[in-house]
Amino acid sequence: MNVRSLPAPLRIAGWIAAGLAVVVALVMATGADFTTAVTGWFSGAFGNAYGATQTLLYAAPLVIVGLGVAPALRAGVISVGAGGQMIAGALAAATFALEVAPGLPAWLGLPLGALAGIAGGALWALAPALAFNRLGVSVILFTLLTNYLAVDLLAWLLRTALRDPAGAATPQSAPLPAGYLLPQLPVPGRLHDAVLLAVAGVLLALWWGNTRGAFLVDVAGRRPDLAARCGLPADRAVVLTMLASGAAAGLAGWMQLAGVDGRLQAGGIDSIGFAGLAVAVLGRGNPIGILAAALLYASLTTGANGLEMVTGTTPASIGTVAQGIVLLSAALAMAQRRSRT
Amino acid sequence: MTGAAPFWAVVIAGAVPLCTPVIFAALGEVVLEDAGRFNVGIEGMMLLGAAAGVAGSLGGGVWCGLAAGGAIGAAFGLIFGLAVGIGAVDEVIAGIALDLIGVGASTVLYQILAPAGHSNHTAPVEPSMNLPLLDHVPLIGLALSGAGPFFYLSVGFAVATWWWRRFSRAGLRLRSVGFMPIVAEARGISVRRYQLAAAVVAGGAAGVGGAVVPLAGIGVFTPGMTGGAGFVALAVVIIARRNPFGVLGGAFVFALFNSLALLSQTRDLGLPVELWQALPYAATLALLCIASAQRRRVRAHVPSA
Repeated sequence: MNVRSLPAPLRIAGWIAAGLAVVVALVMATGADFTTAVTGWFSGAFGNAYGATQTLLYAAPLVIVGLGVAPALRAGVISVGAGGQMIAGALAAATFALEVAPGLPAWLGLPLGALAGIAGGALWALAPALAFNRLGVSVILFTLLTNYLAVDLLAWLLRTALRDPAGAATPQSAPLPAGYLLPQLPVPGRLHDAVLLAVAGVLLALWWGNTRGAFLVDVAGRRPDLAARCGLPADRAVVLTMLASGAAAGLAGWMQLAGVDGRLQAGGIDSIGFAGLAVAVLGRGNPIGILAAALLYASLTTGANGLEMVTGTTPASIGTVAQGIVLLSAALAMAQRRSRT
Repeated sequence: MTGAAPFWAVVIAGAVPLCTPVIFAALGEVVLEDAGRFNVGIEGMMLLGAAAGVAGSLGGGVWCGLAAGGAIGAAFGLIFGLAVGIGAVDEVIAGIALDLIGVGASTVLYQILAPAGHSNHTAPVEPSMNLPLLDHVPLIGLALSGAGPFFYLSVGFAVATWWWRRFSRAGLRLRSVGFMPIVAEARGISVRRYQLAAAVVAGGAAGVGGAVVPLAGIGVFTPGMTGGAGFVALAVVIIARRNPFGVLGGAFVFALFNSLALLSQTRDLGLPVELWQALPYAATLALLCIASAQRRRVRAHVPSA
């Protein structure tokens, strides 16, 4: 049986396995034996309740960011702006919670905080979409640059208007009022309620994938003229899909703020941008695929932490290497299929 | 330190070491974009170059470190070129993958070389230079007094790149590959081979630029030490419109603002630190918009283009 006649998910899984074999070889080069490498990764990622919760906690924002950029990818728009959009979302939510309406009860504070995050992220994503439509500016370059502007804006506000009045060594805001903090799920470790939004997002994306709108976005990516005649001009497709990706990233930024950090902090949030895009590519735009890819990516991070603890010699940053190798091997697998047809 | 001239001399002296890594990486990206390719993963390659640079310098001196940085960068450039050229992977995806690998692998390398608890070995850094006539030039003399051989090497690299892409046969062919691949192929130029070679050169330049970061400074690798210089290089190539002298100027302007931002942490320069940091990005964004709008207007006047 020819390797190329295997169904696509199987073949991609095969390439990813080959990539992971390279990672295992690297881990063994740092002084661990094969069994330790595999069991160490497993114990860190899923071995106990704490590890499993950590994996889910890492995976949730990746799922949401990945689901958000998937429509843009279908429309042929590559945005690397998820990091900046997450910051904008968290910034909007924190400003609303701390400055606009600090006294709200949770039944109002949580949805309004989430909405502020969505609005902030979407607004941040609107600029590159408009610049592309009006001026023809590359979305990749625009979003790369605005990521830096978001980081600087956050740093400035944390030093001035939003600075923690109690004073702190690291730049941070005051803690969010109680009505804006996400409750934690009754599980070992810390896992906030909003990870359930990732599941809801997968269901929403599964439903949307079969609608006329999703089909038109697909068409807009391949045959812009045809899509325009069917009622979706290319520029509108760019704006709508970029708004969706910004809204999702803003929501993820709010989740980190209200569920994990509890206050606005500098750093950390923006590193997820590239990973979210990678997850969308790995999942091939399919919601279930994105869920699986996000779990894989998150398990590589938490698994590498476990590996470091077990071996003592293997650095945890091998997890980032593994994420890159997995992305490269999966992209190779998908490209082979494309170039054959 | 109260007069105007010493102040600017201090700012420029601070900017010189900041711009050198960016110049190397951006010149590599110029060559890559000449061939019609684009790499968002420069930052990861620079970090690898920085880690390898420290390792090489510990082993065989500072020039050995620079070579090690260039070699590992070129190796990753080769991977990029093969994945995109032969594997048909989207270049943005390949760039992101290599960025992740570079960020992670440089930290792995660092932790293997200097395990936690052991004291950090400081690698030999670049020798200081004293140009005899420089002291007599008023502002520039003071500003360039701290510039080492790496800075002059990067300027030389810019001149060489300018000459090579303008006057050499291979340089002209490379630009034809990026400009009109079909025509180049029809003329017997192997598009694939030129793009692969450009990817190797660009990776090597990014690796050298990365190695310069620790070797012109503290002689120690720290994770993430290039601090976004790889993305700055991408922005500089945009402003420079792929002109190597534009790269020199653009990288210097970026570094000037960074130097001002560093200074504004200790004294009041009238604007918040973060604004000084954000200004070059905002300016690049504005230039990018203007350039794109112009290109669009020109295209609108060309019939059936």
